[in-house]
Amino acid sequence: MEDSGNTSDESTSSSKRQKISGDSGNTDEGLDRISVLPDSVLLYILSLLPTKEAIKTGILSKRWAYLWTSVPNLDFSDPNFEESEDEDGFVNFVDRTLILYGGSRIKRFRVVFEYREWFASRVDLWIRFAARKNVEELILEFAEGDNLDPLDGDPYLLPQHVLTNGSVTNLSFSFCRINPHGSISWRSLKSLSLSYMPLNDNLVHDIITGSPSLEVLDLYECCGLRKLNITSENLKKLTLRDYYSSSDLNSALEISAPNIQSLSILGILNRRCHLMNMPSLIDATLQFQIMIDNILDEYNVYEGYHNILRVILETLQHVKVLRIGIWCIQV
Amino acid sequence: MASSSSSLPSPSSSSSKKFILRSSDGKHFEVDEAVALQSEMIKQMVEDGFGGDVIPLLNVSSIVLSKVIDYCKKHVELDFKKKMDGDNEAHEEIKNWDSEYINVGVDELYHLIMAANYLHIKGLLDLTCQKVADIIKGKQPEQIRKIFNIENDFTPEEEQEIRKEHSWAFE
Repeated sequence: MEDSGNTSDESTSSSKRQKISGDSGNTDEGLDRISVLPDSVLLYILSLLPTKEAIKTGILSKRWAYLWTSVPNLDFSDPNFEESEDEDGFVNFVDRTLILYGGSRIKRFRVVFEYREWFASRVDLWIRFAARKNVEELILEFAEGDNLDPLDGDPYLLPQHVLTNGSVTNLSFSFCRINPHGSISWRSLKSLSLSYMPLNDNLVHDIITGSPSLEVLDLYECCGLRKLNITSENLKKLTLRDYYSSSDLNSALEISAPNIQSLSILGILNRRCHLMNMPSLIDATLQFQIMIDNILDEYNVYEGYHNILRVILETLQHVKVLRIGIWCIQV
Repeated sequence: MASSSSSLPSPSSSSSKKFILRSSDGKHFEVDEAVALQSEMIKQMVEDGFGGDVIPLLNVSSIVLSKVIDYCKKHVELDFKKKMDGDNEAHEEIKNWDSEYINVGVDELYHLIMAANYLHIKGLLDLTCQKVADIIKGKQPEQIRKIFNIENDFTPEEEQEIRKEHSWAFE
C-alpha cells in the first residue's frame, strides 16, 4: 500500500511497532476500515470537523454521501475573517448548508464571521433554525481583534426567542446585543461568555437571575458595568478580561460574589477594581494591568496602582491558589 | 478455549481490587479496578451486579486489548498526578503521551476506535476520532480515499451529480 505523502510519517512509525491487525496477525491492509464504522462513530468524527470539511466527505462514496447532513455539530467559520473579503459568499454557504441539513437535533452551532448589519435577517433565520433543532451550544462570534469598540458599529441584536430558550446549556456571544422585552430565562444554561457586548448592571442582574444553573461566566471587553453583584449559588467561576469604559473614570468597578470559587481578572482594565465579599474563593488569577488615563491626582502613578493592588490582595487573603501576572508583581 | 496462564492473578500482588478481562482470543489480563472502570461498559456491568471472576470482552482481541489497557493505565496514573500536582503540568504530559500513543496507522486506528466504542471509553474514543478528523482535515476527496482505501463506488454520472450538488463546498 502506498499512502500519499501526508501520511508517510504514520506508516513508517507504525511499521516499527507491533501491528494490531485482526485476530492473529493476518494482514488486513488495503481494506476500507473506516467506512464500516457505525454511523454514530462516523458522525462523531464529522462533528469534529469544520462543517465545510464535513460536507466534502459527501462525495467520497455512497456510504458517505449525505451522511454529513445528520452531523450534530455545525461549525461555520469564515476563513477570510481577517481579510473580510467575501462575507456574501460565506453567508450563502451557511444558507445552502442549512437547506440540505437533515439532522433532528443540533448539539453545537457555531458561526464565526465579520458581521454586518445587512446580514441581520439572514442570521435571525440561522438562529431560528438552530433553536428549532434544540441547540444546546450556541456560539456567535461576530467580532475579533483587539481594537474593536463595542459601541462603534452596530452589534447583532439577539432575537427575543433566544433570551427565553430553555434548552441551551452553553452560550457564547461576541459583538451582539441583548435588549430583552420581558425577562430572560435560560434555565439549562451552565456556561455564558460575552465579549464586545454593551452591558449594564441591570442587564447582567437579569441574566444571572434568569440563569439559575449558571456555573461559569466570562466577560471579555464588556463595557458599561459598574457593580457586578453575583449572588447566584451555582455560579462558581468568574472571568473578567479587559475592561474599558470611557465614562466616569474615577469610579471603581465593584465586584461582589459571595459564592464564587474561582476568579480570574486578565488583560487591561482602565479603572480601579474593588473586590468585595468573596468568602468562598479558592482560586484566583490576577494577570491584569490597570491603565487609567488620569490616575487620581493625590497619588503619583506608582503609588496609586500600588494601593489599588494592595486592597485587592487584602480581599483575597484567604485564597488557596493565587496566580499573579508580571504587572501585579512589579507594582 | 485456551487461556494464557502467565497473567492469572496472584492474590498478594496488590491491596487494591483486581479485575480479570478476557479477550476474544481467550487471553486473560489482570488490571486494577480503577483501570477497568475507565470503561463505562465494564462499570455498568459491575453496577448491574455482574458477579463473575472474569469479564469476557467478546469483541476485542488480545493485541487490541493490551493497547487499550496501556491507555487506561496511563490515564489513571495521569489523573492521579493531576490531582496531586495541579492541572497545568499533568495536562501537558497527557497531551504529549496521547499524541505519541495515537501515532499509528489507519488499520490500528480502526481497531482502537471499535474497541473504544464497544467498551465506552470516552477519552480513547475522543482521541481516536480526533485523529481521523485530523487526517481528513484539509485534504481533497481523492487523498482521503487513498489513505483509508475508500472505494469510489459512484458511476461517473452519479459522481458528476453529487459533485455538482456539493460544488459550493469546494469553492
